[in-house]
Amino acid sequence: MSVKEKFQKFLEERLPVQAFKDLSSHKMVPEHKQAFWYYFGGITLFFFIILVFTGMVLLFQYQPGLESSHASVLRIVTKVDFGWLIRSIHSWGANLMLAAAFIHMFSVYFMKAYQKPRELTWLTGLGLLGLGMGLGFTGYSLVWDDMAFFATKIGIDMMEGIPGGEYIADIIRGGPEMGGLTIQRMFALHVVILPWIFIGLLGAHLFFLQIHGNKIPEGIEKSGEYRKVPFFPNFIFSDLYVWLICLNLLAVLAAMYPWHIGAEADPLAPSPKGIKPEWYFMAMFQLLKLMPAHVAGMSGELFGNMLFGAAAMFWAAVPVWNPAGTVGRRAKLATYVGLLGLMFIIGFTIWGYTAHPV
Amino acid sequence: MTRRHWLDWILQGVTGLYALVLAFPLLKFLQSGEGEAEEKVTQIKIEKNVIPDPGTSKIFKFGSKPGIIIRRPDGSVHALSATCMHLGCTVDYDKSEDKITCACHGGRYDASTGANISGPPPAPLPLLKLEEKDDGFYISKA
Ligand code: HEM
Ligand code: FES
Repeated sequence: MSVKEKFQKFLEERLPVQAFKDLSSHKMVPEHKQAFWYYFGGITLFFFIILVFTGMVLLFQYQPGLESSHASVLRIVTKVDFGWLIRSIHSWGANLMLAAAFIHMFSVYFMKAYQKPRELTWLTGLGLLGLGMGLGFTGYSLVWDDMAFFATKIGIDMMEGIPGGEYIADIIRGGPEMGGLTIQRMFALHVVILPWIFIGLLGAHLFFLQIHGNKIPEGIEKSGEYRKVPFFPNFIFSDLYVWLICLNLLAVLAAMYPWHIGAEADPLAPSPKGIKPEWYFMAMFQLLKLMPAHVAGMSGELFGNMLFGAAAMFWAAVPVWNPAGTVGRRAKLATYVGLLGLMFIIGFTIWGYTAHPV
Repeated sequence: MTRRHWLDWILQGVTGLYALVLAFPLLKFLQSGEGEAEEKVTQIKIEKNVIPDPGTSKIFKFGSKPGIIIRRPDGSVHALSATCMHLGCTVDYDKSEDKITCACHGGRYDASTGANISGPPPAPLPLLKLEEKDDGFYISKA
């Protein structure tokens, strides 16, 4: 018996190996002309794995603290061997993960994959996107350069515009002003709290997916123009192939465009010219900039936040207002709402960038 | 060997190379320390009143490592490295025994020469060069 066979026998005597094998050989994935979009969930997952991995590696060199945060990132990119590369991979990976998550969200939206029985998959997915943006926000602040300082300040100040938000803002900031405790708390959120919640939600998300399988868009299902391929090995291999492409894309971007680091944050210096948030907050940022000081008897900021909150809630509730079995005008409406949402995000993001040249 | 075998080998080789390419920067990254070389101290001065009486001793900082200066009962003064040659604990002068001792695993050294007398230390403690002048003790690497 070879070592491999012995090991297999060892496992078989102790675990239900055959049951796992049966399970994976029966798992099927639909294959059709829109199946391409199924890859984006997996791509998001792949980038998350990269982030956890490079994040843990960065922890060996990054030193949070008012005196040390910026200095240590500077040391990482100038002195530590390949530090610039690992940092660049982490930053680029974060951006690519969020881009993939957005594409994933819109593709499941247009496939109407949020309908019964998949409502919980939809909601956990939205939670993951929110957490991913939270990770982006908290991670960005850890560099503590001038841009990060003011972006973080703006982000936290924005929470104060929401009723009860002052308490949360105070907790995150560790007092009325940004300082060493702010970094410490951002750090705790970024490397422990948010990742663990993310992993928990991710587990639920994948578990639901495993129960329901991939949604076949209605039109394609009716026409019968699809076939089912085994998840293992067919789909897993094309998935891995796509992951390899993503890894190479990430490596090229990270190596050719090393992530930027600004001058150390100085709370007494004026905010840097052309300050802007990361692209995934740009649409919201631009919307808030348009708000006048007062709208309908409340502060423009509160109004903007409420508007955004209401829109997000409406979006999350799509399984309720467009349930399975809806046909005709109502079913079309959901598609139009989706297009509107997509156009709003793209349009406002571009607007935000052109109004704020880098 | 069949063609299929060859292809498998090539695929495995490429995968292995890819893994090495990923592992190299990673290991270099983890290995990078702060890189502050040991502080280059050549000489320090210790006031005489630090070890006023026979049987007194004092641990001092020599560069980034500890040293020990001892005035033995016979009045002679010696300076040695204070890092135990066994596993790096910091030694102390035991007045009652007139020996240098290490609390960690019971190593003992001669207080003048640093020779390892008993216990696990494998080598003598290095001596430091000591010059007594009117205004104090001048200590430098031997
Ligand atoms: C979805 C997951 C994540 C996202 C979106 C994300 C995003 C970010 C971003 C945008 C930065 C700032 C990068 C820069 O400009 O340097 C950052 C920094 C950092 N992240 Fe993450 N991250 C994620 C997960 C993690 C995890 C799981 C860990 C550790 C367990 C981690 C550890 C770090 C550390 C130590 C830094 C500071 C070093 C630096 O700024 O170069 N991250 N992250
Ligand atoms: S370290 Fe001193 S005896 Fe072991």
